[in-house]
Amino acid sequence: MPARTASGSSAWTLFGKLFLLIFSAVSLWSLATPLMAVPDEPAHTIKAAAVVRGQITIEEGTSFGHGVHVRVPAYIANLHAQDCYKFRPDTAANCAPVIPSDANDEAIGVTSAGSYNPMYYWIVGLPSLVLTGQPALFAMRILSALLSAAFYSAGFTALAQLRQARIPVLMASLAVTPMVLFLAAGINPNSLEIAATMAAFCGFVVTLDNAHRVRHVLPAVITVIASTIVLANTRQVSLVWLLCALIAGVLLFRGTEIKAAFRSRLVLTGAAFTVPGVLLGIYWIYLMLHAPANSGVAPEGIANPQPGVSIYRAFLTMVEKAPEFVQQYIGVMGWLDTPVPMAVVMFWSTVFVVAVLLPLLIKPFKTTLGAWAALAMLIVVPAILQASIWKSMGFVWQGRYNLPLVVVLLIAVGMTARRVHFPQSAGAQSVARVVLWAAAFCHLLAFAFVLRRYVVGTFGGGNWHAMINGVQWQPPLGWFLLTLMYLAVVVTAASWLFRLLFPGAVLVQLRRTLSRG
Amino acid sequence: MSIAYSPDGAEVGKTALTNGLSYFAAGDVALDSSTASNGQSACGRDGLISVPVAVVPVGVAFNLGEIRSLQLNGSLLSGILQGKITKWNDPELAAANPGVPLPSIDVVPILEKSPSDVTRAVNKYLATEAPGSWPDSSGSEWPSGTVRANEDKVTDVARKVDDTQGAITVLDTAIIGSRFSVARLQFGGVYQDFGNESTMAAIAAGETVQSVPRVVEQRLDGSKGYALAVLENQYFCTRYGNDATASLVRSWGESVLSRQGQRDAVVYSSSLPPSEPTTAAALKQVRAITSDKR
Repeated sequence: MPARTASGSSAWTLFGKLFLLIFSAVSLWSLATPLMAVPDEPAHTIKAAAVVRGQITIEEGTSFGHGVHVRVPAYIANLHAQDCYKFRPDTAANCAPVIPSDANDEAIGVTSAGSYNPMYYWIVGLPSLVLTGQPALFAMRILSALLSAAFYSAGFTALAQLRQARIPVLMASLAVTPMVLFLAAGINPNSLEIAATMAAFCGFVVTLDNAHRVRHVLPAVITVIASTIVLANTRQVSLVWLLCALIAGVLLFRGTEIKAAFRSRLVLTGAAFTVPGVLLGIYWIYLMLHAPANSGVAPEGIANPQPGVSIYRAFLTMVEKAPEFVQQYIGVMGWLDTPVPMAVVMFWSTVFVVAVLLPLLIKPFKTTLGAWAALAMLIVVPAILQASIWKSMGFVWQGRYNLPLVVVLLIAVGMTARRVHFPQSAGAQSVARVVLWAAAFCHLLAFAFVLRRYVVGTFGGGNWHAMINGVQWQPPLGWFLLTLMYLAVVVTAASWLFRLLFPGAVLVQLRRTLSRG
Repeated sequence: MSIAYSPDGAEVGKTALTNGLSYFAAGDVALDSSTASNGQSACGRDGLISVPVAVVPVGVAFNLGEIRSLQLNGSLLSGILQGKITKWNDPELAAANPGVPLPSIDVVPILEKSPSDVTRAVNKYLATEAPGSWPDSSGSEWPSGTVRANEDKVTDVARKVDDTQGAITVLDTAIIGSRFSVARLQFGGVYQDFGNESTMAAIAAGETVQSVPRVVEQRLDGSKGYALAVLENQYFCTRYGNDATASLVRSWGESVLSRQGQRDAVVYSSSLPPSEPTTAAALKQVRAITSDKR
């Protein structure tokens, strides 16, 4: 029997639709953002090109100075040169040198991602074997966007199979902040990590929610298996996010449901499927722990050791800084040089405040444990991880690293509130319309603002008119068409979400007189 | 074109070059014949090129308050660095510095712990000038028997010499600047002043040596000028994988060895150019850099 979702369509159909929608949104971000404007994108692109050319592990004598040295086509080796606008939001992207299509001679590239698991790079690097120049790099981005879109779609599809799906799906949708989409658009495994953690968590909670009829939610089980294997082979820290997601998931359900789920032959078979993949990921971690170390002294800026700071102090500093990361969860694009407008920050800050306070309204307390655990892990786990490397590497933590846990937190809150009656009155629909239009507007504003930053530079703000008469850089298809397409995508997303929340109702209500005319 | 500097040491640089993971490398020792012929897979049949590009004088800096002038020979400097001469008014020191009112305070040698090109230069100098008392070492670390080196960074060494009456150390000219008093040193029985002019004279009178194919060396003549210095070299492949890289590397080497490049080096790093014959020989090697596609 095919799995059905809350909206009634088959899971595979829903997955297909969602995939098209999310992939469209992410690829628009891929086109709108100049190549190499996503954090550490040159390093990850060089790594991807090296991995598909067989340079997978760190060989003796290859790691020194700024990172691991590899041999890749010159147009990729020289991508670090695309940094003229890095940390300079007033500078348009046209300052960057042209990425040539004929510079295919082998050259030396340096990557700081040398120790990362090669799986993501094996896939994303493939276009560089058949294309060259900008087309190759855009194709690499698009391939990365495909991966992320697949996992986000799988996560949403799984959530739609919940018995009470409305609030979890709503919260999951709000968890897709502009920053989440921006990161998914670039070449950086951070994107896949967020998407796979989201998918793993969603699949896991749906499996537990259907513990006594797991067979009916087979896509959710498959999602957990695939996400687990991918997370084990993305970044070394990804397994920690997976563990956090599983802990939060378990705490959202009663012991009887958890026992039932883990007695299911399907679940046990699924768990067995993940074992080789997880072991492979652990083996890679083992390999890298024993890989040749950097054979020199890393230049300043690559490592800023703080040997004098106690781990305890470093931990507390991170805990204290936890709220400061919220803006980075919402949108600090580029190389952390392009914060989205304050209106966008305010909207999602409100979402976060509501998310954190909502469990206080839900009784009994034990049903909210998963949400509280997710919140605690969001604050404590990054603090532990950063504190452990503070002495050797200094303060290197960024908000985007936490996004897998942020997404888990928002969905966990949605799960906690899933049994709350969701009103279907006209008033409730009006409130939902306002919220969804606001969300769509904020997404669009963030998108247009980031485009402005690259098309003309921000120059302290207020120069939207320059997008018409002072264009300095244009993305493929031009900024105007991209913005229109993005508008269509976000309105479609809001409409679908509205229809899920209020079956039979529509987000865009044309007046009867108009429709009659 | 951009150049990423990796402060990893000459050995790492040479390995990277011979593995095809760097386009050129720098170090304070001219390549020996076995190293120069290495790297054939990355650098072509003829291996590597090694050319001198700069000479950085090394001074013996001291802090004796008002006393600004001091003369040392190899034997005295070795005695100080080995902790055998412990007072500034030591009779041997006094004999070498007639008329200088050396105080009866402790000699405090302050040395950098980590390996350095300055240490290598001093080792070579003492191995020549104090052969009986200093081990025949040309390494970049202090040999056993030297007083304990305590400072992690050269900037810490300089600060400590500033703060310590009776301190003595070895530093390169960029750090010495006009900050420290510097001793005259003896080379082959002749005392020479520390300073650019004196070292330029030693460079000009020094030989250009090419005993190993494609390796050019600059010698310094201590009888004509101050000859304790770090000799900076750059290493290149004789051949690169493509024209663009070969052309860029050639252009880099030519730029470093050009008059303008050498003037910039004096201004920005206080280093001195090799002699004209040495520079010409070095340029000849650099201009011969070619690519596999030729």
